[in-house]
Amino acid sequence: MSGGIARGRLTEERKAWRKNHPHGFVAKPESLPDGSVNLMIWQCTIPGKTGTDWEGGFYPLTLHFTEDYPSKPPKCKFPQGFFHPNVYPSGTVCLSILNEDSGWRPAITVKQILVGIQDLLDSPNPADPAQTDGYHLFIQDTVEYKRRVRQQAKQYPPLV
Amino acid sequence: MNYYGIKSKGLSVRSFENFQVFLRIQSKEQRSIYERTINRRSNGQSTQQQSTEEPAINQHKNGIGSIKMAEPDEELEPLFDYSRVQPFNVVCLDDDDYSDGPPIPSKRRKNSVSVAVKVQEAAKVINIDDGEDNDDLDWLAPPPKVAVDKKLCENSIIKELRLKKQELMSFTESAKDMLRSVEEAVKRDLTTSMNSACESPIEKPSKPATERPKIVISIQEKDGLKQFRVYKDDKFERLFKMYADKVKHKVESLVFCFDGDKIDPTATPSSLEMEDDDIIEVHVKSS
Repeated sequence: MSGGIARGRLTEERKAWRKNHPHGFVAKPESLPDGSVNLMIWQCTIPGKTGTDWEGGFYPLTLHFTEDYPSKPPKCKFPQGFFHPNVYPSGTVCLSILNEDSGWRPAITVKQILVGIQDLLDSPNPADPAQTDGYHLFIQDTVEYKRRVRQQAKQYPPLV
Repeated sequence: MNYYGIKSKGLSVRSFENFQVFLRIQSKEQRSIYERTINRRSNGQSTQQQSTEEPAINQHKNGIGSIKMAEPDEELEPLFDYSRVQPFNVVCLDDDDYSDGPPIPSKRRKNSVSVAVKVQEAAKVINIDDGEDNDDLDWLAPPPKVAVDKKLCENSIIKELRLKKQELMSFTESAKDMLRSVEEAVKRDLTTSMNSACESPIEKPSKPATERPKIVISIQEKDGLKQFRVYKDDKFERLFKMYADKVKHKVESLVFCFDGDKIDPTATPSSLEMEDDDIIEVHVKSS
């Protein structure tokens, strides 16, 4: 069963994360109601970078790992309708390092994924749009775009 | 006689048997040769064969005084030195042909005698060199003295060494004692100081330090990391207070998170199943 590889790697990722991770980030496997842990789904939080319109927001992100991990990347999802040019309406993040056919490498860690997505927040890639709303405002109306970003940051206040 | 029954050290019975057969054959030949040469000699004749045998016979005459039929194998010096291999008593006891006794010992005796003579000669030479006109008895006396002296010297040296060894042993013993006492003193100091440290700030029931496992926890701020060693069963409020004092903040203005969740000050590292080097994040409340 190839799942052994995925779970083994995820156990290691978890161990490493607990001992070293960037400030303000959260990443932990889903806890089921019966108290057990589902290593294949991680609940994460990405803080908006200070000095950007995203500052003050703590954006929830879910990582969905498959049994093929780390051969294949996890699916990374913000909440549905998340405002960002490179996020699909479903919330799925479109990023080169998360694409099995382009930038993904098995050696990429959870930490690198989360930091990569934090970078993407304030520096969207207009060459690869995933939603019309965010993309159009980013291209045509920067002021409105910034206002929407700041508004969204307030929607995701710190959890504590 | 049965040769096979005799113990043959290191020799296989088979080789021993071959050897015995060879010996018998050889001795017969030799005997015939001897008989021939002796007959010729007595007849006043000399042949080529006799000249080759002559020295051996002469030597034999000088050594023992008479030629005996039973001793040919000694004088001819066969290619193989049987005296080494063959058990001595086999020849003298078992072989009917050699009824006149063992020939080999006689030769050995000769050798030993000559060696003794040589030794005596050497001793005399030394005596002359020393220029002393002492008798043999006087000359013979000193060596034991020297030996005794040597022994005495050795004894004294050994005694000295023994004394030194004893000294060293006692020294190491005393050193060990010293170390032990120092260790005990340090241990006593440590336990007392730890007890006082545990008891003085907080009215906590001080358990022995070994029974309370410790854990290293990192507290992560925005721009840095501080490590703390705390008891696993110690409530976090103590650690939080310690940290707040260190960074000069009020405890109330700080929020401590583990895995994204705010930490209850009454929780303990073990209740959160924390491991060594796990990170606690600290956030400063803006308001």
